Amino acid sequence: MRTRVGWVVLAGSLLTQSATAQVVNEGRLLASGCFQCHGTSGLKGGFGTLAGVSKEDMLNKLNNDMRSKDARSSIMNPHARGYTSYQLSLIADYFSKLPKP
Amino acid sequence: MMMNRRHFLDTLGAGSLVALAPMAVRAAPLKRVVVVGGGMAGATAAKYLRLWSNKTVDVTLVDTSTKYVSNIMSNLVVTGQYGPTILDYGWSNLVKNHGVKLLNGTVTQVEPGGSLGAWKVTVTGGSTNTELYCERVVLAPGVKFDAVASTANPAVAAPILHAWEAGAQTTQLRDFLAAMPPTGTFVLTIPKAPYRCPPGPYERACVVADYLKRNKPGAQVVVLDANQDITAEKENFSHAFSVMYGSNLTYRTGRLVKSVTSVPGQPGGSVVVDIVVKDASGQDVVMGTETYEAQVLNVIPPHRAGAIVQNLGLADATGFAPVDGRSFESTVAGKSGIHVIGDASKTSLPKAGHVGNQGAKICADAILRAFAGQAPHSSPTANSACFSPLSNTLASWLTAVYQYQQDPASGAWKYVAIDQVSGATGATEARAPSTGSFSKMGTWYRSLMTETFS
Repeated sequence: MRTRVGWVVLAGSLLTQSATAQVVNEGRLLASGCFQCHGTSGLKGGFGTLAGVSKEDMLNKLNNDMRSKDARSSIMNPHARGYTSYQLSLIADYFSKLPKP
Repeated sequence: MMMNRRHFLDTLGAGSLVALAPMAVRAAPLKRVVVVGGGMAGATAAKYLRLWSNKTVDVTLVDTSTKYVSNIMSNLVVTGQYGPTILDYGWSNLVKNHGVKLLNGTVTQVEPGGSLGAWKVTVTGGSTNTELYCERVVLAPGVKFDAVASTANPAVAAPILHAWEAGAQTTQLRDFLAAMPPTGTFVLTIPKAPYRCPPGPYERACVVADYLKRNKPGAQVVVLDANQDITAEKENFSHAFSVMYGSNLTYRTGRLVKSVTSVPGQPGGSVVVDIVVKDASGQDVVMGTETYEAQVLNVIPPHRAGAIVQNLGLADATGFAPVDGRSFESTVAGKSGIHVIGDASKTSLPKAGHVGNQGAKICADAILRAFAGQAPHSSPTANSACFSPLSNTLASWLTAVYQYQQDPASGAWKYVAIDQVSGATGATEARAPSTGSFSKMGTWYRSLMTETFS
């Protein structure tokens, strides 16, 4: 609940920025935790491209193939289980808006 | 390159430049960052300050070396499974792809920069000094190792072969292991946590025991752990110690190194340890001492943040630098604008390459926000993912997602690993080691290094 309040405040502060100010994408920092294995900006990693994957497909996979599964049976399961649902949706939203390779 | 910029600044006239001037007054405030140390954290910070600013932030990466030698995977160089060149990385792709400026030298001073910038960083390289002015400094010096007393004369430091900073010591340990007598003993000591790479020492114990089992079946590994228990991947390493290497590995907890007898360039020696147990109230009690003779002696001493962090007064009594977890900015008075990332920083995150990479992105994001007049993200997340070889064909994994949050009891903010589904805290380890994980380990390593250095 606290986390969610934090996001709302930050989202509000983003709206007040001028167009020339540094654009900070809320999903970007979260999603950057995927870059080590899936490549910078979701490209050219060893474990599959995430750039351009639709939000629906990614959330479906994260929730149904990983988050609901035994944490110790695959390294991705603890990742999917370690973020809140809201954080996962921000991550999926971020990658979905990156151009496909 | 540096001279040109100084010249440019001089031409403009120092009086026209005011560090961190409000955006409303100055159309293009200077946004310069000096990153000190090009390891996993420093290289990542330099890259992302450029990438995420669309190259509008000027970034100079300073390193004392001409290449980076990876600690990750170095245990499999010790056993000879891989050649040492798999550990070699450089910064040329950061220069080429992102326009990071590279400077080879040692940072000797970081001080207020007066009218030329918030901070002045002095870099000594050969016979010349370079002065870099910047608005933010990111220190990523890694660790330095504590001296270990010589047994014969406690006032003198014993020569130590730790191979815990990959490079010449890695291949020296490899050569000593290969030349070890067939019935010799390899003694490995593990310092008290926090130390660099929590699973790393146990991983080394396993792959050395595996190597000996295959190549010198009469030889033994003795692991002397200053901790009271295995500090990471407890199930997998316990299983490995008791089952896979039950016949040639001895694991002892609560063994705190007191002194060492060793000769530079010689593989063998002996180590004196205190036997430490916890009493009912949790206090350490020394029950006696033991001496272990080794044909190959591998002591990993306790370590602390690298020299520049110590010299600038950025470390606390733990030896590491306290930082604001949202930005990795130092919390020491008078040091705002100096960030400490990677193994040198003091947070609740483990000291490891993958985590150092992510902490660097959190830091870079916070610096870019600061340049835009924004506060850092209030509750960033970090994560850890690593594979550990347990033999030449089997590996396990360890992973966690860390949420930066406030402890309801103490009010302190820290990174906490929580399973959001079950509520369980702590990192998660593989159910069992596998050949599949060993294969994925190679993919993970190459991905992580590509992401960090290109």
